Amino acid sequence: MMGLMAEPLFPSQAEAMKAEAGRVEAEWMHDFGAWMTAEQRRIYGLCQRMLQDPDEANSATQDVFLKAYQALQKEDAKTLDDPGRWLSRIAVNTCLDRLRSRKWQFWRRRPQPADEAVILGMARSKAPEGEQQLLASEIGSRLQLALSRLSDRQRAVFTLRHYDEMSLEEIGETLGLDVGTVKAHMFRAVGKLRKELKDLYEGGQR
Amino acid sequence: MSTEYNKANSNNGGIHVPAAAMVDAFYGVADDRAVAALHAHLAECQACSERWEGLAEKRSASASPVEVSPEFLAAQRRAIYARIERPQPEVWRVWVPVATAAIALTAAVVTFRPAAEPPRQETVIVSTAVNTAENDAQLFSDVYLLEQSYEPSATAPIQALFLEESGRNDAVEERN
Repeated sequence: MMGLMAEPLFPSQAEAMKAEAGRVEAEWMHDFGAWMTAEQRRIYGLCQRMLQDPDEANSATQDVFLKAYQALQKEDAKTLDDPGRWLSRIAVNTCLDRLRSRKWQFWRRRPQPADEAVILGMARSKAPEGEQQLLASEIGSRLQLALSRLSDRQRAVFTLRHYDEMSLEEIGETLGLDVGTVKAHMFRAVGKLRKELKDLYEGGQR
Repeated sequence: MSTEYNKANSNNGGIHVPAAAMVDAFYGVADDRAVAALHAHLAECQACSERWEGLAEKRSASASPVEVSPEFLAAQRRAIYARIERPQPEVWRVWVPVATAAIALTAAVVTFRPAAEPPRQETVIVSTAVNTAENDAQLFSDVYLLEQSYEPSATAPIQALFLEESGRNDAVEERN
């Protein structure tokens, strides 16, 4: 009797559990999708500035969200205090890995002129309001191209400060570096970009 | 950063903060003393204070977000979902074939390595040199002997002429 009763019950319980798991999974995927949509443009921009190559930035952005998904899927994934910063960290490390492997690809030292035009076009402000902003936007494009003069770490540090407005402490936490090291990288980066920064902050001075 | 501009600017007619010093402070690379001096100056100088506030605005204008179309972002999301749904190859599925191929290649190179030529001994070279010298001496000797002994057969009639001539001369001398 028990056996007769248990048999039909067990599959239905399993199905219910499966359905519940599917619902949770779908809900989780929905949340993940919403989060990805919210962060996607920022992460793509970060990768674009780090790698200075639209195609590679696209591929790296995909890698970033795939890694984030896999990390979040793990049962031991701890609750994140700041998911945005966590994602930035994944993005920067992904880009640094790619830049490291690019060092072996001696035939692609710098972006081609056509790519530079794309980068300049992408960096330009959508709707510049007034002369000041247009000037700042154009200098910003120059600044973005000038990032190629920086070492990988200097570029990461400067990008997170200038474009993501992180403090040195936050950059240190994101990159897993102490503040002194971040400051040293930033000092060198600012030194190398001195001309562009001077034009940006002094140009069209009121 | 010198604090001279603080004092000079107290009457609102002195030195302003250089742009480089402002940029250093803005990016957090100025030392604490310089930052303190800057803020002390900003509290007194309206012009520099406005410049300082303008830095954030200009930074923001220069750091406009990367312009991408919604279609591009949608395609990128589709690619990400496709990669999420695609089963990832296990690590061993990638590394085991690579490692196996590397081991097989190494074994093949070691096993079928062509036999190394025996190293040339220096003595052999020396002996060759000696032999060469001997050969040369022998050759010169043979050539010398050949030169000494060789008489082409075509010269015999000519020699006979000379011999006849010399015989005639001898007879004439005898007659005289």
